[in-house]
Amino acid sequence: MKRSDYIFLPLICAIALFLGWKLFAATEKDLSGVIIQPIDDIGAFIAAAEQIQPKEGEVYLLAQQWKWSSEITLQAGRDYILHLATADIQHGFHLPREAMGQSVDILLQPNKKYQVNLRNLKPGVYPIGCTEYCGIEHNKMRTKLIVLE
Amino acid sequence: MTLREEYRYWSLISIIALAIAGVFALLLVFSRTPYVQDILPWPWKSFFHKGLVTHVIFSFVVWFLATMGAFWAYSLAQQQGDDAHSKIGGFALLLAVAGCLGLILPALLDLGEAELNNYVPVMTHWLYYLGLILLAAGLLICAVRQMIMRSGFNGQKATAILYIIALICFTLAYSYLPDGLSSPTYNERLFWGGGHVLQFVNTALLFLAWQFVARDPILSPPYVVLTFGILVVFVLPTPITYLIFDVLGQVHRDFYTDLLRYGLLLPSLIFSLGLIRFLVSEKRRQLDRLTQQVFWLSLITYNLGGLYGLLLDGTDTRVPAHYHAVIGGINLSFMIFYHRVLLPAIEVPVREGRLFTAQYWLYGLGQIMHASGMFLAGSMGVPRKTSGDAQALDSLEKVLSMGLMGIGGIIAVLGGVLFVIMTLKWMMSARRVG
Ligand code: HEM
Ligand SMILES: [Cu+2]
Repeated sequence: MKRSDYIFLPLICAIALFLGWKLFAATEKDLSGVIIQPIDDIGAFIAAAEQIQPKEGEVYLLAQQWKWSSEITLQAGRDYILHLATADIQHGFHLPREAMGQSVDILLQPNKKYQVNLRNLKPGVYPIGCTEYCGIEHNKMRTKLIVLE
Repeated sequence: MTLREEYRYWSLISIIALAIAGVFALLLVFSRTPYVQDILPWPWKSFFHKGLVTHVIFSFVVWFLATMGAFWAYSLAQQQGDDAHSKIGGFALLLAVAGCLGLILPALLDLGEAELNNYVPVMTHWLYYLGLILLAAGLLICAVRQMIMRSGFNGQKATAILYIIALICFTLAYSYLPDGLSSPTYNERLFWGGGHVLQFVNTALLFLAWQFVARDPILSPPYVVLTFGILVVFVLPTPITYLIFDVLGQVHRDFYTDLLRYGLLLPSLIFSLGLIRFLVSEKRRQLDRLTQQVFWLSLITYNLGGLYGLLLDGTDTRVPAHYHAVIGGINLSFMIFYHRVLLPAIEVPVREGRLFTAQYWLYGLGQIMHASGMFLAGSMGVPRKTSGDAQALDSLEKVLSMGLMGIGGIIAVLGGVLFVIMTLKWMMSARRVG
């Protein structure tokens, strides 16, 4: 072995250990900030999602093969609670990182409802996609979050 | 069957797989290019999906796995001699060929429905699943044979371990998935963990291909052990995830995405830096010019794809941009492996010339354009794996980037077609003479 190997080999091992630790740590933090509850009446959720003006500061979005219930229009600088659920099979809610400085990705499983806070929204139009393969038209499952000034 | 026959047959399987995939690729690129897609009479909406399944399974899964079979048989032959016999090798090949029949028949006979789940897309018909099992079993035999070889830990053994772990993940997923799931969820979760582990196999195959072609060691032994060791160590705990996390849940799902991010970065970096060092050192003079150029092309395409992989966020065309580039980089390494290592070993003459050189440049640059066009389009929010109206091509930038993607795709397919036609022709005609 060359002399430089005594530096590089341990260095590589150390980086590998660090990355391994990051991977391990990532299994813990995933769902922080998301409240998950069982849901027995999807009908009530659907009704809320269909309402044009639900309660102040609350937004409902329903996923189903292969569409989202609506577009979402919000005001920048205000706080909202986003309620999510699926009407049929597993879907994934995804909001790109540009919207809040951090991307949101939530796997939506049947018979559960999910609650997540939307804060510090920056003005703009953000695509919302489905990140869990849910059938042949999965990629058409798209809507938008519009944040007004 | 001798080991030389074994690696010749594995090569034939992999290149024929590419030929099958190529036919479908051409049709798919047309169906996704702006303007061209309007001119073409494209009535079969369901063809797009079935064609995509067939294209992916042959160009990605069969081509990679059969090349792995060729690698293993070839490296065994290097140790035991080309004429060493192996009874089980012929049986493994037979399983793989039967498996390929199972994979193509459902698309031709319109059996089952297309399901475009990640990594291993399927036609939902028992014949197709049987095909997958037979193909996997054929390579499992080779993997086990590789494992029980008397030699220390090396790249071949590492690849075998990774492959076996991928199969364990598929099996665990199968046994843990509850009854009554919808077909999309079932197939996505069935192939999720093992599919991610297969990307570690594919990365290992890239390193092996580079090493075969370079002949002189690219990395010194401790680095080789370390690089392949990291790949294995990251993958070793994956079967446990099935015991501790819900297979259907978010933690399980995100674990595998993170596994790629954290596990592939370092080995790719080490081997790429090693190759760069090799290519700027005196050792490069042992290689002809084209081989050196292909090394650079492969290196750049693969690492561009790795970079796109680190940058992706969500569901747009940046995801396919990433994997087309990494896969393109790996494909280039396989192409040069076949031309510089495998064909000479089976005494098939390789005819150099302009077209020969062109295939590499067309494929490499085409794939870089194709992937970069997709990446740009994705950054502007064009959704993936759709065609026609759903793409919402409402700005000039989007149309341009999708055009770049379409033209790049056509150029890449030209390169790929040249590779398949030339290589198959040489192999077939040499066979008749021999
Ligand atoms: C260089 C390091 C790599 C990094 C950082 C990386 C990262 C990623 C990430 C983050 C995703 C999206 C998340 C997911 O679907 O789980 C992904 C998807 C994918 N990667 Fe990679 N990857 C790497 C290498 C590879 C290699 C070597 C291959 C295959 C030869 C590959 C093939 C794929 C495929 C096919 C998908 C898409 C699956 C789909 O959505 O259809 N990647 N990669
Ligand atoms: Cu969905």
